[in-house]
Amino acid sequence: MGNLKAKLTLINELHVLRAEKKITQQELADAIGVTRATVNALEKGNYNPSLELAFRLSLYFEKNIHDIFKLGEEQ
Amino acid sequence: MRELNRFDRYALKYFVYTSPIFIIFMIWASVEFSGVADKTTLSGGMWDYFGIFFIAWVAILLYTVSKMLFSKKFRDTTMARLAGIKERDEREGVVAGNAAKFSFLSTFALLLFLLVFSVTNLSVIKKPNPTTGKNGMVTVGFGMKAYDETGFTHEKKDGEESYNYKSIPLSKPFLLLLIMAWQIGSYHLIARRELRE
Repeated sequence: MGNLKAKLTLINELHVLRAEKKITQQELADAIGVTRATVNALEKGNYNPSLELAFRLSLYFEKNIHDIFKLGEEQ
Repeated sequence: MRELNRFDRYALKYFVYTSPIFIIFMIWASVEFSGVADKTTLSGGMWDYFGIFFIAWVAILLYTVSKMLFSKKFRDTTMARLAGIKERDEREGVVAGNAAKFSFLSTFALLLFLLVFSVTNLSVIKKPNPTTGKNGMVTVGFGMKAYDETGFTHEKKDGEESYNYKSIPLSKPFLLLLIMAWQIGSYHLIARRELRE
């Protein structure tokens, strides 16, 4: 299990999934109801989405949340 | 803006769009006749002509600041626009929350600093005393009164009775204390309400 109290880092495949769909950050932002800056922050890993936004991304890309977001190295 | 009622929308638009004109006009008037209205000057004549619009502007200003105190929806809409706070999505909400926390704490620290320095009295008296060998004395104290008598005055002179309002009739330290109490009180009120939900 590891240390669950340590800070967990989330990594995501958003930029890959977006490239596969051939859509811009703005198009993705419009589809899930956020700003382009938020999509950029998500892709760069500067912002962890709420559970609701994670589900919206999951519905949009038709993938499980686990396929989009993964746990990175524990710090 | 759309969530406000029609009167508030028009009032705010009138206030926002006419404010620069009146501010420029007030600066111009203060330069031209140093605050004394005179019909012979250009700005004095214009005051006479545009006075009704200025009265409407002052009335809307008083209405706006009063309503801001009591209506959360009105305050949130107008203040967010005025302060440039954007909450278009959840990330901007988080950013606004963090910025508001910093702003709250730094403002509170600034108010505390101003309060301490506004109630502190310090006197340095230089008076050499040959018998004691001392050069003078330093006194330090704290003093605060709630009212400022100059804010609101009542005069009776030559059969004329006047009531004059110049500013809020509360002292500077009391106002600072009031703002600090408001900040802490409103924070705990909202935080408790949110935690209960």
